[in-house]
Amino acid sequence: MNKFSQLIIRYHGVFAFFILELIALNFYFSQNSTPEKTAFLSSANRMVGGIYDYQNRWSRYWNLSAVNDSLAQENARLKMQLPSTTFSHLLDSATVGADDSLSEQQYHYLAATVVNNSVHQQKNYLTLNRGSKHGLRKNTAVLANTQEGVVGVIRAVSTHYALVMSIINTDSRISSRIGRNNYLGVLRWDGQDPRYMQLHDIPKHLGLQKGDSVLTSGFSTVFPKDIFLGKIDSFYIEPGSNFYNISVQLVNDLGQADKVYIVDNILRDEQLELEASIHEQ
Amino acid sequence: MSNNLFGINIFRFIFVLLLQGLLFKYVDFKLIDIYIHPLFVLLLPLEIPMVLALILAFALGLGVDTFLNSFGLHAAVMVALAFLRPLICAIIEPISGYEPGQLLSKESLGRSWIIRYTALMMGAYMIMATLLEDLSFSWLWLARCILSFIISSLFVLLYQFIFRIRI
Repeated sequence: MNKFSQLIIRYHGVFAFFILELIALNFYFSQNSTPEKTAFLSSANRMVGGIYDYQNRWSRYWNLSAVNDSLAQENARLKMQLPSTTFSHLLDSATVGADDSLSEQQYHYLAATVVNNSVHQQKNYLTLNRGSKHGLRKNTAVLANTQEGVVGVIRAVSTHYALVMSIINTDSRISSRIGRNNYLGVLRWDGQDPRYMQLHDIPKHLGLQKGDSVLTSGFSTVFPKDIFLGKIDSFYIEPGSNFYNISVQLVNDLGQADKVYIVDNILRDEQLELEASIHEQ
Repeated sequence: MSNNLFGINIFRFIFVLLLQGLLFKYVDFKLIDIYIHPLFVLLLPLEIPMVLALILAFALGLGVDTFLNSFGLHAAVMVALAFLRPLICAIIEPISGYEPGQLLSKESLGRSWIIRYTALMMGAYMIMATLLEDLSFSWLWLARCILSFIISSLFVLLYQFIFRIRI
């Protein structure tokens, strides 16, 4: 025992090094799985989010921001009245109007401002100035200001801020389809150019054209259906592969994301519960 | 550590953290990252106890992580850098050796020593940081590492030439 304590005293620097290194690496490698990470994210968010908020306030015109906020809220309210945000109880959904009593609100829109953003890292995140106080929750979609383009998915929520995993994050996956032939694929980012993403799992027998539109599939329960993501910029087939390598030019510039809409699928839990019940049987 | 030196290092800790978190994080040339926070470890006094140096490096790394959303990446690399520093200092030790209480500055050790020291420390930092971030090796990785290293080192050198400590 005496020898052991002598050893620790003699090499206390090395021990301290290993302990701190283990803590840090554990943080880093558990980032996508454990609840601790979400806890770390939320607290870090609360701390740094305030600083960013303050900094952001100085970098915009005072009045313009107030006017923008009210307009964005107005827009969010109007968007909720669109027929595409409702869940129709009629069998022929084409005949349903927006104020029809036979349809039910499915997507809830909320306007938010980006207070922190990055596009040049491998794992890009944004911070929004809306949090659990405004009813946000994890795994909610964030769309660009215009009707076109997706920004990301909320990964952690604190009282006043939300942390969004950008679509240009090497961990992000978006279920999407090609507009012309409705074929499903997965949109991912290779970590290089923030203007382009890659569409995977499109088999080579399909005919593609440059400029084909890529839309969200609506199968993921996170993003609403038929949000325009971008256009096919180039594609080729690697020898020996059965799938295309497709580069998609995004419609929105993530670096300029400022006003965004948070879209919450109110019926998501119900759908996930039903889909999960098959594993329990 | 004299009281004055203590104050200077605390000030540098905060200054470097804010500089990295609020200014250099926005620098965006394609894939290049500019990291100037290793500067803090570079300029710690030589005689500082190892455990204290490691804890300070860990704290600054975590602070940078909260700003950059990198969850422990910089904390890990900063701790490793603080651990490697005595070794790097030993490699480039001047013939006359280090004097007790000597500051690691241009005035006391000369320009060429500072440049060699910065290059070795920043090189070690960049290799560890980009390796841990990408977890793979490719030409793109190498280009990213080298370019980030050159630009970050320039800024770190610039800082050391602008701010001088007189005691």
